[in-house]
Amino acid sequence: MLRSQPLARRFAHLSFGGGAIDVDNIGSVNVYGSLFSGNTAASGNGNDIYRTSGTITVHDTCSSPYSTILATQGNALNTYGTVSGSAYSYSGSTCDHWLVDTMTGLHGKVSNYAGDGYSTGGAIMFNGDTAVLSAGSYACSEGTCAHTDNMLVPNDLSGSFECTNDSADCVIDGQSSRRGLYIYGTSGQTLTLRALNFFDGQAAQGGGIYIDRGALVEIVLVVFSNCKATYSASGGAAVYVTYYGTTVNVYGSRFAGNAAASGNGGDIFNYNNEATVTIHSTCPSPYNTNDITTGETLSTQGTVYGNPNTYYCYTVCPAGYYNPTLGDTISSCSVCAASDKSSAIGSTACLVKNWQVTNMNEFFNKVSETGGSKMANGETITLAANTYRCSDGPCEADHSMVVTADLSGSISCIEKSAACILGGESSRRGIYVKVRIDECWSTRGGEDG
Amino acid sequence: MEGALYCAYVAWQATTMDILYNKVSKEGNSLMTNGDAAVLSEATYTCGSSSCHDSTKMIWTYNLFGTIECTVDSAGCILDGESTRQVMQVYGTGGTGLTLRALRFQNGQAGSGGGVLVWGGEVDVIVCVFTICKASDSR
Repeated sequence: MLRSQPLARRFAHLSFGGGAIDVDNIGSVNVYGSLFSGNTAASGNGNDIYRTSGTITVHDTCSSPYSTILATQGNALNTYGTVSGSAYSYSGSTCDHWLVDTMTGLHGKVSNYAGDGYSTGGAIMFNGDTAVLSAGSYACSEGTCAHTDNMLVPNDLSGSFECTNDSADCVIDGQSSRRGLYIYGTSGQTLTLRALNFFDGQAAQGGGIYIDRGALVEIVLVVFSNCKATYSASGGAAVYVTYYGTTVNVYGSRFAGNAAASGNGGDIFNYNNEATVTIHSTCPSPYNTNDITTGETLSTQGTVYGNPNTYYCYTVCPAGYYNPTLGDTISSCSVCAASDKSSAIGSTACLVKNWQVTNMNEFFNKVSETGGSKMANGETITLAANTYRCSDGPCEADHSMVVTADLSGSISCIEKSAACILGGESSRRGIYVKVRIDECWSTRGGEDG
Repeated sequence: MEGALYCAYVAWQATTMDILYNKVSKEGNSLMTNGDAAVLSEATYTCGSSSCHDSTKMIWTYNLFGTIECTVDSAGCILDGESTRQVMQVYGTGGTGLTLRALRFQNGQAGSGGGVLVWGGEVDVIVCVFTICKASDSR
């Protein structure tokens, strides 16, 4: 019997090793998502792992319940004896990180509200986990969403939804028809939204996000752009918060081009002051908390603590440039490729559906009926602060500078100060918004037009 | 603080080396019941003036099964052998497994297995870190 053996004999080795782990006496060891670094064996036998007898298996996956997640591979292991499985060290820091790269995958992982008419995800992450989105656009036209009114509805879910990088190039595109996210409670724990880009969200209130039921939410490095609240008696185009106990903290986030039909809370609406909303003028880790640039003042309704502004936690690049690395010097700015749709001031990516124009020629070609490279319906055009005149570039032949024919989307100035001037030069109207009559009649189903 | 955190078994909170030693090491004075969990707070655990198994080992678990884990998965619970002791020796696990989760084995030193020596039994090592551990016997 092993227990009756003298201690010295029980631990007798013929050789020694395994700076980190030694397996002996028919032991059985499974290693998941574990890191080995700087370990040594004086014998030269297995700086990391030494197997005398028994078995040891190094897995490249995380353990249950995260067995489908691949751990992050690190350095090669130094082992001695038979070691099964992988030959590498792994970081376990991402073992609760669920990677998603499609709309259906995102919905399946985070949208668990099961009300009537709602589609519920089939593989919801656990509370405290992180859903990591790949850079790209997420839209209901490309996959499953929760509802015709809401893209995603997490119910009592905590943890984090974040973009794979901090550049906010994970776009939650409401396509001017849905709210991006309805947060229905967070079970007393915090849900963090990081580096997401809520674009073109639209709802009666809270076109970007609706936060309800005492949810605790941190909004970090998030962008809200072109979101709309359509109900004339409400507001909160980007963010609408309600319910006592609901707490929202905002760090280093940007708001641009959001609009409420009511004129109240174009960016943030705190219904009946039920919730606690704070805009922080500090940057989140790993950015220098004191190195922050203040942007435009937000449009808010209800109590919002702190200084309600857009904030940048990195160098603010000019229009047409972007800061993909969120660097803190001007050399971090890269120009958007000429063939790409370019960015607004302070952007971290050349956002899809956002064209930048700086002169009359570009403006005409992008929006006017006879322009040579018109934007698609639903897209956005952003004018640089300038004066646009027919004497400086092409215009339509009639009495209008430009004629938008059946064009939908948005034409806006880079600044909210109306610094983009359409100069009619006392001879033309600025824009003629034109709808083709034959199509109007055809939508009525008539043949007598 | 000690108390039940889960329904299926008892999770014992360990905030100091003394508490950890007494909960999991063979000669501890308030060993956890097999199947329980010892949950470490994020801290550095060293022998120093605290209780440890002996001058060569910090912790010796004897046919113990259950879980020894950090309160969070950050591996911020550091078991530091101070380059003089083996951090943990697992002597069998009583026929059921012992799980080590999110622990950082640091500066462990022994003839063989400076971080952990598994002498029989079934052990799962999950999201742990082994750093600057040394097997000092050159044979």
